[in-house]
Amino acid sequence: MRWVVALGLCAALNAASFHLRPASSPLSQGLVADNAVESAGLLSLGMRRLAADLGFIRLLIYYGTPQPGAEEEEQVTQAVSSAYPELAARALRILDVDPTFTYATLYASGALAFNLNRPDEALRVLQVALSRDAHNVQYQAYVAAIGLHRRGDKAGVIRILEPILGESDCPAMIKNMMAYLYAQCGQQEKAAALYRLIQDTSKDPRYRRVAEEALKRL
Amino acid sequence: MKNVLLLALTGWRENLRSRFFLLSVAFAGVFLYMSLLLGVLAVEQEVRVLYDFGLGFIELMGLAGALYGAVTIILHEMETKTIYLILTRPVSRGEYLLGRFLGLMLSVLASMVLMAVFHLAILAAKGWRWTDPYALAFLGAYLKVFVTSALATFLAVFSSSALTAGVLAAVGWTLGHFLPEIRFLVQRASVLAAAPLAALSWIVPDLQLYNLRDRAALEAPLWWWFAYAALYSAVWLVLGRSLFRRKEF
Amino acid sequence: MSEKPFSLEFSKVTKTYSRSHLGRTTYSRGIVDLSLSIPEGESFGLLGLNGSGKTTTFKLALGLLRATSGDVRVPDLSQVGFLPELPCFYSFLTPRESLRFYGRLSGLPEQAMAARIEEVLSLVGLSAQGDRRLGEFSKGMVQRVGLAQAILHDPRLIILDEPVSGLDPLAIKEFRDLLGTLREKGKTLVVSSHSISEVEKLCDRVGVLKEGRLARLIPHKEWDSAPEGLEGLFVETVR
Repeated sequence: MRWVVALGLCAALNAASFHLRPASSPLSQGLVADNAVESAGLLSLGMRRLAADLGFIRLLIYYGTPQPGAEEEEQVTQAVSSAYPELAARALRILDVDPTFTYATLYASGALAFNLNRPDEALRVLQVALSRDAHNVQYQAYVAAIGLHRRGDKAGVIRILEPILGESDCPAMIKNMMAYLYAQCGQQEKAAALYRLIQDTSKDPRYRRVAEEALKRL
Repeated sequence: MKNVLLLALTGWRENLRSRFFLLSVAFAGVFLYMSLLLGVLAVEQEVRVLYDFGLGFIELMGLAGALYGAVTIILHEMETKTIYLILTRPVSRGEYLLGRFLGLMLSVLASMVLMAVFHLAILAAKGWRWTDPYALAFLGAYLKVFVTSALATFLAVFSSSALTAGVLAAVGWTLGHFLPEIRFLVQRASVLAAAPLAALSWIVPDLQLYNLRDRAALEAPLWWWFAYAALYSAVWLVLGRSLFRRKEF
Repeated sequence: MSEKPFSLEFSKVTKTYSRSHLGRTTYSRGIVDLSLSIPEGESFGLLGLNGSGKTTTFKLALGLLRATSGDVRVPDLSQVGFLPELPCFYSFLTPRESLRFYGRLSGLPEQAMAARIEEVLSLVGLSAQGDRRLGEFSKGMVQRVGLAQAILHDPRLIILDEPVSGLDPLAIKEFRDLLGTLREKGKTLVVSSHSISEVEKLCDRVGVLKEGRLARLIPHKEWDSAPEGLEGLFVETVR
């Protein structure tokens, strides 16, 4: 009898808990073979964010490793458009594990759209991100900016992305691209200010180096 | 209640001198320091990685200490026979079990707070500024450890084997994090295949409730955190007490 | 405060240990059909070979074991003091801290605590070592702390399981004197020991356990008049 009461109480508590937070959703996609054991291990310990962090570090290493025939500097500014074929898939995996990891989505979609010139893949990543977080202003701005970038509307891209430059999770890559666009559109002061910001705040030495050289040119 | 407090405070003093606790805190310090290397790899997301890794590690070390303590609570005292001098006094078995459990939880809290202070120092050195979710994520981690330890204490009384109790509690911990997935699977599997999973989903602790480390915001009110931890733990401790009352020494 | 007299009563008590392993249950004898009454104020000795059931009898009296059948009647545990064979303490505590801990668990009033702790430490000869960690103590010193905790709350019934085991001859003499004092104060003592001479000096009556059964009850006058004393009667009973 005691057991029945105890198990009944547990069930009632869990039912109340589920009722209070119905939003909690499971993984909708399967685990990918190359890191399935690690991801499953971390998820079973309740460490989705850490699993996403490790996925992001892998993405950075992947995107930071020069493709055959490419110079390191190209990595930062512009690479061959067919390079890094797995970038979108890796970004989607991270998004699947931790839908709140905005930076990873912005970083990957920015690289795809503005560095690798693969806007369709970038938009696919952003669509998935927006399906999880429809009100994210940064995602919305990126979608609009990619559309304008496709049409070659540099001023439009600046107008759309300028408000999100101040966000704490705006990647240095986007700041770098914006500074480049400012310079191209004749807004040298804004470009210099942004390059200085990258130099002062970015933790990525490659972007700091690019900013330093751009400032010399300006 | 006086006996419970007395046993809890003595247990806390005992645990603070335990080599396991001291080693776990020292190990955590070294490991948190080493996490700086992992942070460097994340470049601009260094602080996020240090934050996630540190909180996760604090939770796991807290859990390891708590499970070790919970599954050996009685066995250790039976081996050393210190239990004889307590249970042959006007102390009920329930008071003894609760006192030892609370003493353990107090010690685990102290070790987790120590680790958190070290973690916060590392984060502050990297430019992170205090946010309320840290406190809530830490609280969530502690309540997860609390609830799992109550289950482990029951299992230790039930199985009389520290290893079995520890393994079962660890399984409970894992399943407790997979509850949304279990519910998802139950809805899609056949009735027969889903029955054991469905039964489990009602019994294992809902640890995702507390997993603020993995979420941006609270999904349930804070009072429910405390209510769930208190009631769920009470269920297993009361059940443990009824088994412990029949135990012979 | 006038207190009702009590007695420690075993009425047809049987204790069978059962152990299950891989679905097979094995049983072993602890105590068989034990009937015994120890009135307040008596010094009772329990003798027997190893495995005869002495410790089982004590554990049944203290509620550490439950009888398979029969009844055990004991006074309230606040009235009972127990010295187990080889007592163990929290090694990080000092004797004073330990006694405070056990005193509180026994319900000793706070205002009387400090004085009582000093009194019992003095009785067992440990006043000077009261602030050393118990982890540093020798076996004999731990035994003394064991006795101190057993008498700390001034219980009416004191159960002593092999109280002089491991003690040196001088300590045995001191222990015997102390137990004699307790006896004179009217405390009920129940003692098990392998040392027949100790039991002979201390007890009013002795029970001999053989294979879990109470084989013989021997009053003091009987071993006084026996040519080989208690030892002869014991050997005759267990052989």
